[in-house]
Amino acid sequence: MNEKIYQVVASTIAEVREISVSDVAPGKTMKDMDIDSLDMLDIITSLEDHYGITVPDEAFEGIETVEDAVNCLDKLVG
Amino acid sequence: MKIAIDVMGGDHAPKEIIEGALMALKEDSELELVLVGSEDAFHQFLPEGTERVETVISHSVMAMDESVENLRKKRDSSIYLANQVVKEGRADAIISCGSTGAQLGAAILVLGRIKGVKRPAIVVPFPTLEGPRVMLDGGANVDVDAKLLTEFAVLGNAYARLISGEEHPEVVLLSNGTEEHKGTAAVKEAHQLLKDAPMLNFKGNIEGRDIMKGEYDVLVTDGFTGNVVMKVTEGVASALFKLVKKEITSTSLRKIGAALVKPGLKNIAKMFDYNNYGGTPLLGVNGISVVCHGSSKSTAVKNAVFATKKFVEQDFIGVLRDDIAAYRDAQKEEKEVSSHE
Repeated sequence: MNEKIYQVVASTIAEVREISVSDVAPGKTMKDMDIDSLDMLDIITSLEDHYGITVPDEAFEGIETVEDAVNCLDKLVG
Repeated sequence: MKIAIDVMGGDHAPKEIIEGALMALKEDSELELVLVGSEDAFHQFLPEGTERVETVISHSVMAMDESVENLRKKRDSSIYLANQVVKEGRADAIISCGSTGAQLGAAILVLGRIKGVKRPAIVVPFPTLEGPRVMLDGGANVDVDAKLLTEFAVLGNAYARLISGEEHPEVVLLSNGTEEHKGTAAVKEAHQLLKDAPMLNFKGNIEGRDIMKGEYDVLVTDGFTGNVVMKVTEGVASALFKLVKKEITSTSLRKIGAALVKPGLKNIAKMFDYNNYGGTPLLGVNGISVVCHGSSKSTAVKNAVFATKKFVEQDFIGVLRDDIAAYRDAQKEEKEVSSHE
């Protein structure tokens, strides 16, 4: 897993959910962190803006864990 | 004062939305509007040279049944751009009659949430025997816990204070019994939290049959129940009016009586007419974003403009921000006290 991207993803999640970065972990699902579809939209849009990319629908729908999000971005930013 | 209107959202958009905007301009000589919509809409319905109107051209529309996730790809949609106009400080508030989900999503993406708000809620003006009352959540949050229900109560309390002028609005929780041990786990826990919240005038639980009595100011429930209650009420009211109409016009003699009761029935029908409510704000987003009924026509849009104007004048977001901050501080203090004990 790309550690640099993980840091960005973790801090984005923490900011949107108003939780501590330490409460975010690679294996945690979005559901574990009480992230609903609007939060997810908020998080992914922020990450798209940060990296200047567009996450395709199939990839967006496949994100369940923090690690999934990191790997998805890694492929697109790569 | 400048208000941004998404002219592409709603069943009767853009014609009725633009007409409503023009009606508002005619009634208020100081009002300025930013209309967001397609070039074609303005070409067809906005008279050239209309004063006090700025137009912003959008290139897509979020359909009523479209997934909110599509906002990512539709940043050129009228609802997204209307929010951006407010974010950039070019207008003080937004009005839309389009998809509530899209409006909520766009507001969260562009304007963000008020600090301390976990989930913004949709507030619904609910017709009761004592006049309209505030109900929330109207459908934004289907799965909620006790803390979220309490947050809705704080948001609804601030809103009710502004619209009714009541210093300590009476807050009630919808349950399947008035006793505090009744309800889902979330409702039972929320009852205790609400009872302990010093800033709320909590009056306990009420049952579904008491909603229409209106013996409260703010009714708190989850988005699933709130939406069902709202739609069932609309359906029952519509069916009742149809039944009454059918019965009182079924014979010649009854028709004479019908003519006598018609004005009274019309007044009751007005109570249930969304056109008179003029839209309600999303509670918890960091800007004034007013949601109108999807079937709004020009009069409803005009009323929404004046309702929105009032929210801006009352510093609606400032009031919400202060209340949420006070609620979070109280929670923090409580946590500190219990950790010392």
